[in-house]
Amino acid sequence: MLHRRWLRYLRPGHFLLPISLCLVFLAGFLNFRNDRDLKQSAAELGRLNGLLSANAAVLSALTDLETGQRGYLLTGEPAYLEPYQQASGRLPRLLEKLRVEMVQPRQQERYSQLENVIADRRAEMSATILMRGLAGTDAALTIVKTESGRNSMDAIRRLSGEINQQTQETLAANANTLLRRQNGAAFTSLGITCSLFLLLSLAAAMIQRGVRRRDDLIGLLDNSRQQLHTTLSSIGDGVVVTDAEGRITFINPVAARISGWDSKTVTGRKADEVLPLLREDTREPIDHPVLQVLRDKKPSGIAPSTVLIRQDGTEIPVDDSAAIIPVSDGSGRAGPSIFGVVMVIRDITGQRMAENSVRQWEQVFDDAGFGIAMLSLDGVPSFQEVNPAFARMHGYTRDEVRGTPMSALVMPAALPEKMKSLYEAGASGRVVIETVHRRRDGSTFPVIADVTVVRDAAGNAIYGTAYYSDITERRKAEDELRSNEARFRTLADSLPHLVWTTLPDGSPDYFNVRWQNSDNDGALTDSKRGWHDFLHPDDRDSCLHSWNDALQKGTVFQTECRLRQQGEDRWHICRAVPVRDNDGKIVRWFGSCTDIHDNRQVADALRVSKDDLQRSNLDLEQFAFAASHDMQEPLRMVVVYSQLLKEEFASSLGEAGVAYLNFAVEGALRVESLILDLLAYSRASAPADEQAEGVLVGGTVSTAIENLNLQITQTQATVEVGELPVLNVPKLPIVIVFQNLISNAIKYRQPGVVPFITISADPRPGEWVFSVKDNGIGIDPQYHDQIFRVFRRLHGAEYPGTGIGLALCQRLIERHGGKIWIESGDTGSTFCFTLPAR
Amino acid sequence: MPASDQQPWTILLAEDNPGDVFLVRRALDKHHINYELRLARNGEDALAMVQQADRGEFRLDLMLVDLNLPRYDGGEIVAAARAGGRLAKVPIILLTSSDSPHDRQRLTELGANLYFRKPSDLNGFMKVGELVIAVMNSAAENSCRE
Repeated sequence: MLHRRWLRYLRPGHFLLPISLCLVFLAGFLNFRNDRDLKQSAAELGRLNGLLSANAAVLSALTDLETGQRGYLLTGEPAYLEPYQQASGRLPRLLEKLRVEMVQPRQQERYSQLENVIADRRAEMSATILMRGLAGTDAALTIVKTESGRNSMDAIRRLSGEINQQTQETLAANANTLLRRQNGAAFTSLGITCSLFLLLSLAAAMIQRGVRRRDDLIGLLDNSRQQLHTTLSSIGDGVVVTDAEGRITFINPVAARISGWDSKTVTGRKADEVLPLLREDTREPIDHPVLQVLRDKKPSGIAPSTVLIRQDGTEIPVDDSAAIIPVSDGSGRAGPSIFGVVMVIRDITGQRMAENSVRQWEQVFDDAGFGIAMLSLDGVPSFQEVNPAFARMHGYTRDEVRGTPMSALVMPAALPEKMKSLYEAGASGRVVIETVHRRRDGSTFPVIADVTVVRDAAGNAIYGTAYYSDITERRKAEDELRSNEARFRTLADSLPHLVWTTLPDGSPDYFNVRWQNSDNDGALTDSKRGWHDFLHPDDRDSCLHSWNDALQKGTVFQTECRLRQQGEDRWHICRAVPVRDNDGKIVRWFGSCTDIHDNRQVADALRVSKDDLQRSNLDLEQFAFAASHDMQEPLRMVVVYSQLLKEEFASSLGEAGVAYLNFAVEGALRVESLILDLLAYSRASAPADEQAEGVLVGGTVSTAIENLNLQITQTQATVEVGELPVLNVPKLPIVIVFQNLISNAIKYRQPGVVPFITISADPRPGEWVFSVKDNGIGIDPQYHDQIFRVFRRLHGAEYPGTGIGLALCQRLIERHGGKIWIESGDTGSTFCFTLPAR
Repeated sequence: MPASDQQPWTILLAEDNPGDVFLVRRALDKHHINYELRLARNGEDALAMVQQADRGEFRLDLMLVDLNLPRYDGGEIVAAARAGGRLAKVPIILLTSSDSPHDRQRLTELGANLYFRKPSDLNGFMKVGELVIAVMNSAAENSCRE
């Protein structure tokens, strides 16, 4: 197989590139070499040309030397020496240049010869010039005539000519070589260019063909992909494809629907993060199939009872599995590396619901509190299957009951005909009866049986089911109810009231005997008239209105109305309360009507007399107030004008006359004080209009003492005041009470004894007791209950007074919720009164 | 107290009881007050006089008004006097035989300056003269200040 694989690479296209590369490389190499040769030839040519010019320059310099020398020798003019000297200075430089150019050994040899002869020639010339200068022309000519100079010069010319010639020859040879090489290089370049053109054309053709083939393949691939996409999209299961990193590259619509994700948002995200899976029972994350496959490099199993957490956080039960997508080598075989993972998710909600439903029904069957049985109706009717409750009810186990004939558990006598007929062939339908079953121990119990039998057209039983309820408790409750009802009726009949009950809508369903007895013409049993007929016409509307209102709102009904009893309309208080069941729904109204006719008459009479009394009291007070007020005026006149009379006419009246006038004034003043006291007394019963708030009782005592200052000073009386509380009572009445009591204590003092008065207060539950104790003459206990009456006085003119003070005190104290009394000790008297605390 | 050469005070006395009229005159005389008394025997007359004084038909320096007048009571007379412009500051002393705190409060609200309860003794009654002088002096001081 190996060579086949390699053969795949041995295509024409594969040769083109190496061949082209070789050619390009060859052309490059040739060009490089050519270029190098050309550069070398050009350098050689340059050198040769330099050699030629250097040679010529040397020769020229020598000619200049010779010209200068000859001129000088002939003329002796030093001016001719100038070119000589110039050339002489130039010559070594030129020679050096020439030497450098002459690199070949043969040339170097020739140069050495030239250098020598030039040195000779120069020595000869400098010698002649020296001689000419020293010894004149002749001496110089002598040297010239030796011909050595000419010989030297000839040698120089010969050598220079040889150098020139050789150089010219070398130049010609080089030029030939260069031309040949250039031709060769041109041919080579042309050949290579042609080859490359051919190869490029070939390559272009092949690329063209390759592109066409690739386009075909892409089309094919697109089709496949389209097919795959359509397949995956239309597949009933959710498909999720990831790359080798576990990132989602594709999610089909079913998977999108199951997971709640949108394929656009989910692409590129990690599958295990976007599609988290939990174990349904433990609620722990499972080893995600995608990760499992990426790790283990083999398909994952199906995890049991998995739930997927959807995008919106809800859960959905799924089956899931994942498989590898291997990297393909074109042969369809899985390679060692993973291209990605495909995960399949199946929504198993429906399946799970069905399972749950079955389980629930099984649970219902097992846990039901009533007996359920499936009946076998082929042949002798028997119990095919029963639930635990049924077995328990009869004292058996389920296994024991299975297959038992029905007659073993059902008392035959208790089975009515219609039930028996249901078990006969061909019968179909449902029967509900109360019957009696027998337990294992032989005891029996009442049962409600609800049996359904369904048969097909041919009369074959499709199924028979029954449920059974033990109604022992219900029977007991019913019995109890009956006994309660009897008790209630007895009680209701024995009551001296009208007792009745109604249904929730208000229609009466019970009246007690008392009511029935008063029903002379059968109104109660007449649905049109009913109990309404007993109502007094004037009360009917208001009574029915409040009854209907109570019925509607479910509130207690209570009203007072006249009901006709034994031919008389008598006032009754009627009351009814709703009785509700556990759900709060009204199941009945219990009502009663109590005869309050006599009570009401008494109350009415009382109310009338109370009103009369109040009115009369008010009239009396107003009368007292007005009378006392108007009586003051004339009294004032009497007093004032008596005084005027006394003042202006005392002398005319005489002593007796003045005394008479004094009596008149005194009398009038007494009447005035009586009137003032009466006025105070009448005001004391008027409604309290003073604000009652925290009053220091001690303060009221102080005020009273101040008001009595004159009396106290005159009698040198001592008033000792103890600790007194703060109370919520109006101030003024308390001042008046203390003022009266202290005043009395001083007024009724023992002759010759300085009055000593003690005022104290003691708390009692809910009230305070105040006492005013004196050391006076005291009061005989037989008068204790008289002294608080108006105008009641125990003494004559020796103790002046109106007899109103204590009555006023009593009235004020009682008006403020207290009471007043007198206690007598060994000496003096103690007046006590109470006031409510707070 | 005005000197005898000064113009006498014009005093309106509204009082139905002739005994009290006599006593008031006596009290004023006893305190040597130079006065001219205009007497109204009932509420109606008193009201008419107040209106005349308000129109400027005569000068009024002081009003002594009994609370319990026939036809119109003292309260109404005070209210009428205070309602007009001219008598707004004329001192008013109310005379009364009752001692109701309620009445006292009401009449002070109406604008009476003083409240004199007619006492049941002669000397007490004569004190009304002192009251008149006190009120007039106080009024004079007030008007000087203004």
